[in-house]
Amino acid sequence: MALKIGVLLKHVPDTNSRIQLKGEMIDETDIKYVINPYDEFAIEEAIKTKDLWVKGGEQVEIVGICLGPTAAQKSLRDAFAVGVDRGIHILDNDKKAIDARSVSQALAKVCAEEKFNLIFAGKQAVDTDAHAVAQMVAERLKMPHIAVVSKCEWTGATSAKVERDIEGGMKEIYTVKMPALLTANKGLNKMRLASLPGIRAASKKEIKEVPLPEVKAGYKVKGWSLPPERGKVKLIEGEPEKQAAELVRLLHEEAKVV
Amino acid sequence: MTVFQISTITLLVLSFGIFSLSFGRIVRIISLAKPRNRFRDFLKRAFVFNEHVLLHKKMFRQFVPGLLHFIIFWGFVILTAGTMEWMYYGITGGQHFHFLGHTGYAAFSFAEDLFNFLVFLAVAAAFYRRIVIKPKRMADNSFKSKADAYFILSLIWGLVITNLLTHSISIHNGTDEFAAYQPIAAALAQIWPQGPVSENVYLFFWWAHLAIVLGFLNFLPYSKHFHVIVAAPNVWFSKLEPRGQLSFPNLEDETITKFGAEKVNDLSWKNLLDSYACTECGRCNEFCPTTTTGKELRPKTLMINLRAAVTEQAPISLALNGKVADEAALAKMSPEQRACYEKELVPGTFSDQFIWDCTTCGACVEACPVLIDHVDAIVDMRRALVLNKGSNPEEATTAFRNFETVSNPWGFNESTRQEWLTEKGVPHYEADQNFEFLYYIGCAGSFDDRNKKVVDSVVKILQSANVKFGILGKEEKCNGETVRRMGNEYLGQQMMKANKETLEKYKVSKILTSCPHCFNTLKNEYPEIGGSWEVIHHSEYINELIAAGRIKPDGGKMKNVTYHDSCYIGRYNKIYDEPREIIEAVTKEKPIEMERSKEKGFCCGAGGGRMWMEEKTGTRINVNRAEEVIASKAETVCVACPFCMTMVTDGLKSKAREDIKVRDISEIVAEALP
Ligand code: SF4
Ligand code: SF4
Repeated sequence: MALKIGVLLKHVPDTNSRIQLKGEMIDETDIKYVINPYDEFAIEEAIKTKDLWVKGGEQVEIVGICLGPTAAQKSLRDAFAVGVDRGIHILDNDKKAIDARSVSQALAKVCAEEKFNLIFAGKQAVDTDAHAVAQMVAERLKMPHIAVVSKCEWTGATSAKVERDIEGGMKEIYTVKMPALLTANKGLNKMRLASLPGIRAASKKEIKEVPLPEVKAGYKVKGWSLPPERGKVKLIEGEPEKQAAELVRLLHEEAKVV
Repeated sequence: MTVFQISTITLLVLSFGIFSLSFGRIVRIISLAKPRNRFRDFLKRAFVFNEHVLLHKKMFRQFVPGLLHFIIFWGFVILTAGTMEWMYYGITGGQHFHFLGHTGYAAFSFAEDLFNFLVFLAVAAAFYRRIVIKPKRMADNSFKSKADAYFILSLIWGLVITNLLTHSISIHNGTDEFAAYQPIAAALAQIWPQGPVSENVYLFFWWAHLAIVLGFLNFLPYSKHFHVIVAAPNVWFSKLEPRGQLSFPNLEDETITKFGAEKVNDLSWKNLLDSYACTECGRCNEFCPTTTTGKELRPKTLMINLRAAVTEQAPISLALNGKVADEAALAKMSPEQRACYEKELVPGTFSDQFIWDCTTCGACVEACPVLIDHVDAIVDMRRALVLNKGSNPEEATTAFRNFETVSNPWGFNESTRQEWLTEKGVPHYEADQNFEFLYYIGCAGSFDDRNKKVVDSVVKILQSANVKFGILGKEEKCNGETVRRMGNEYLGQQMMKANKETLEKYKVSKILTSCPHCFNTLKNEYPEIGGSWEVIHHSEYINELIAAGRIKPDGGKMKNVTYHDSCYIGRYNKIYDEPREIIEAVTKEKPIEMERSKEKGFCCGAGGGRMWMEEKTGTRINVNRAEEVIASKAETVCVACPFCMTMVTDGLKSKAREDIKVRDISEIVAEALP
């Protein structure tokens, strides 16, 4: 029996991008999009799991699922380059699926059709930080799910020992049976670098584009606001004594706090 | 034909026959390897050959061993002519090279006699060096290698001694009409007792000499002294392109599916020739930063192990006739053969650590008297790891990601590149506005706070000399130098192409850089993809400005300055004097020279992408350098590279010697401007 692993991945702005507004909207010009960093751990874990199972004589396929605008296909291709086998792109150029409820609805629909034995996702997407989509997908699929996983060890053909991080450095240890959904935390692994044959193969792998199904969002985005400008930093140079004297002077005369 | 003639001919045929078999085998092994074009430019090659083979240029950097080798080398050339006569004598049953004419033969006899003696002395001195002085660079040679050396030295000694003795007998017996031209053999003739020496004694030494010659010849292919034969061709076929130019493999051809040197049979014939040419002299290890700080990588070991791997696999590659083994061929191999054939250079022959240790500083390449290119082989092995397998140290992955997404190693937002300069009003470069050049800032100057100050100094200098220059701002991208040396050729080539497009869009014809890595790649590597522009490093340019009187640093206020050479402007591009002249202009005195400087400059530890990897083994390279700076008693150490800046500063910090200032050469100039 062939096994199928699903990986949910999101195309997000690189965390170093500078977000600016153009009128009411986010200005996209300087934003670089990448695979959500937590999803990278999910991808790597899927590949590792596949390698393990393939060694055990199984046939395994990894399917990446991504919801987003056309440009989001880049993240699928990047995932292909390291070893994801094919992709499903739920096209949403109009940003209709904007909250966890609607996104999970669309993802769950595709996952249900694919009948995955195992699903990996990142614990959160770094753009919206909802921490919710993957769990909601699992609930909709009626699948057990474990979030914030930092270790996954296969103990049998269909069961794994899984550790998840909780507050204070504590770990909760579970055993789980497939089918299941796990969300990855930092520390689970580190995504490998794509090899050149991998990069070449990536452009030939199949992406199935599907339209966004009817989804219901729970809210509407009203607008964005930028954080207040950081005050100017003044560096005082020179010998320590002079620096201290200057600091006192500045605090007194310019900042007027002492 | 006499028995004597027949015996000589039989011995010669046998010896040369066996030699051509073993030598021919090695030639075939080398010729079956991957291609590399090293055949053009006859004249330039002849020039290099003259410099490094005939004149022993690099050998003379260490005068005594250089001179000894020089004598032995030229002795060999002359004595080979003598050996030819020896064989001619045997084949013809007693003829000499008298066809040279009286004067010719007299000169010939004299040269042979003289070099017999000189080589005798040189070998004695070489024995003395090895036994009594024990040079450090050869201390780690294996027992086999040491035994090999003594054996060869003894053979050479045997050669000249038997040669002299044979001649001395002829002179003693009065049968040599050219005795007057052989003062040494004539002097030696005194040792024989009164009356003629028996023919048998003469023949004994005669045969002994020939036997040693032929034994020597046949021992060579199994010895590190094989360099006697392959060093010269290795020099002839050495790299003529700029040293700082990596090969530019075709990654677009989809029929090529393996990259770099993964297995022995991915190596080029020049890599193989390099490994056979290595004399195990250990000069490469002497200034190698990883060897010095006790890390795994030793360039000499690189060559020795490479040769061992080649030798191990030779029977298989010969049987395959250089082809890649298909399934059928694989099935025919024994399990051991198959394992050997499929063995990967990393981790089979070298550990990952070994290959990733290298800073590509080029000290080994600079030192090697037979012009071996270690860096070439190392980068090729890194390429195989990264491109074929996506395998590299974990920290390198982070750097690769950053380079790929935001075109700088730190991961700074690329739209803020050089924002600070733009805010200061430094203009953007435009094609039609008479800019003297483009100032290519590089990643460090764009983002790193300490190095921004360096760029600031350069800008101040340029402005005070009224130089009209522009920058690219956020359109500048990282040039790909680092990732290429980290083996990520694919990403590197993409970055190069993107940058080249921008530079061409603005019709840039002259570029100033303050980073030696930017400098080297823009100057030496971009031409490979068609980039054509002049590139100058700020140390050259500032020196020009001072010389032309366009800036006038108020000299003499600063004292006790030393200079730390950057590998990529120093060894790679031979810019040694300009920074020193700048220092002299500012301090009015010559810089303090550290022991390891100029060609022997000691790397800061950051090159080859090491800046972005952790240094987990051995002692720290930058601390080693910092100790030398401290020992020099300098108050300021000048650098000319952003990465040296970081490394040397950190090194001094960890020795708690922050009182020693680290300054870019541009900073000391800027500070001395009115
Ligand atoms: S390039 Fe430098 S670090 Fe690398 S082997 Fe040669 S001397 Fe050592
Ligand atoms: S590589 Fe060159 S310098 Fe190093 S041991 Fe061999 S011959 Fe000597």
